Amino acid sequence: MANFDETTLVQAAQRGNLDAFNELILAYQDRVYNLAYRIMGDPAAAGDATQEALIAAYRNLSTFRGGSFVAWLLRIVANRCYDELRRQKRRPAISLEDMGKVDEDANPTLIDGGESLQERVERQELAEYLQKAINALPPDQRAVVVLSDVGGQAYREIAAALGIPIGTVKSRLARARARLRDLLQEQRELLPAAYRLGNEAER
Amino acid sequence: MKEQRGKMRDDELLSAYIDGALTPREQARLEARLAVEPALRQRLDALQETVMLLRQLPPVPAPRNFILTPAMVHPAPSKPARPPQRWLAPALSLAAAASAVLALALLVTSLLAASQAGPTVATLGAEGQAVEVAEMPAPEASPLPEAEMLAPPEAEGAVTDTAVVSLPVRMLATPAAAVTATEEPAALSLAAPEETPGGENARRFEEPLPTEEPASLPQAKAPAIPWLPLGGLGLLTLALALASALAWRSQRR
Repeated sequence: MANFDETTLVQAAQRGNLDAFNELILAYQDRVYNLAYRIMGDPAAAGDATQEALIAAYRNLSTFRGGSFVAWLLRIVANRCYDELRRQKRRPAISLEDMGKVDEDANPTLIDGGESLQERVERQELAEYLQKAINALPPDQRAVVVLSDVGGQAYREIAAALGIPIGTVKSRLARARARLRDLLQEQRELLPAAYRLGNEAER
Repeated sequence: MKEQRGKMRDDELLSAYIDGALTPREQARLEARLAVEPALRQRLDALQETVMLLRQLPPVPAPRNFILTPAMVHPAPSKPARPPQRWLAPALSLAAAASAVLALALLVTSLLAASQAGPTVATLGAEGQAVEVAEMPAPEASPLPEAEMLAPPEAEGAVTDTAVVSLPVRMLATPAAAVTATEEPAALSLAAPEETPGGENARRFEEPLPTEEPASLPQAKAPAIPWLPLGGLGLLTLALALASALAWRSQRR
């Protein structure tokens, strides 16, 4: 990343230089894909959304007016995922039984050097469980909570990305977090001890 | 039910509290409640841990490269669509009308010139027809600016052309019109195939014509009517009318 000059690359891409845009993609595709994956909850759908969002971004480069380029990209992919989820509109709520199961391949995690094997397994199980809980949310809430708590975006940015008022962002985010909290607490015994929630008596 | 709604409202407050998004007043009120309501405190703690867990979710790296190929981004970054050229359709309509008027002016003046040379033609041929024709440009010139349909300008152009082309035929048919230039039939047959609608109409006009037409053409004395420029102007009118109709249509899209 040392000689990575984002501004120059963006300007070149805006002049139609696809190679410059591809360099930007290589720099940010992990973050873009991660956001898509967390919202869509499915690798194939996340890959499609990422690809489509990047094509849309390239075609609309003229609308990028400075600021954080990666935030702009994330906004586009979030918007794409949100539209796609609303289009599907099916997404039955996942049963609690399903939520207990852990899909071994679905959720690769980074390996932390100082972690014991058990800690790693626990962390991975928790991540998978959490993703399933996210998938169980209604699409509207899912996009908001992922943008906020996975993507680290402010209310204002989320509102702009999804085209909804800030008040709606706030209420959807609150409902999504509360629902995730309740799901995690209901299934507390499935969680590694270190992550058991909200039980004062255990502390 | 009421309790449920109260809890939802509390969760909204707690969620905004975690993000530091409450007003100072709301925050003070909530903190006062948290100090005395252990259940609320517990909800806050659980919510905070949930948010923390979400933030700690390990990033999932892209399973492949998403670089774009030229084929994927084709068409290349599109320039903003050209704004519709509002002046084009009216300008074309105006040009069509001007061309029609010019054609008629040319026809009328040459007919007048012809009538002075041969008075018999003037009474029967030129005047009768000239009046009829002179009324024709009106429908063409006026409806064009508001041309909603594709057909009218074109059709009217055709009518004008028919009139232009058929006129000499009538004149030929007039018994008295013994004084027409010899090259007229040639000019006619030249114009007719070029303008399909006008040409066909002209032929229909031609049908009742006596076949002795060539025979009734003695050596012409009258000044020649400029059929070639007239035909050209007719074609121009037709083309302009068509173009303006297309322009109106594309503008409405």
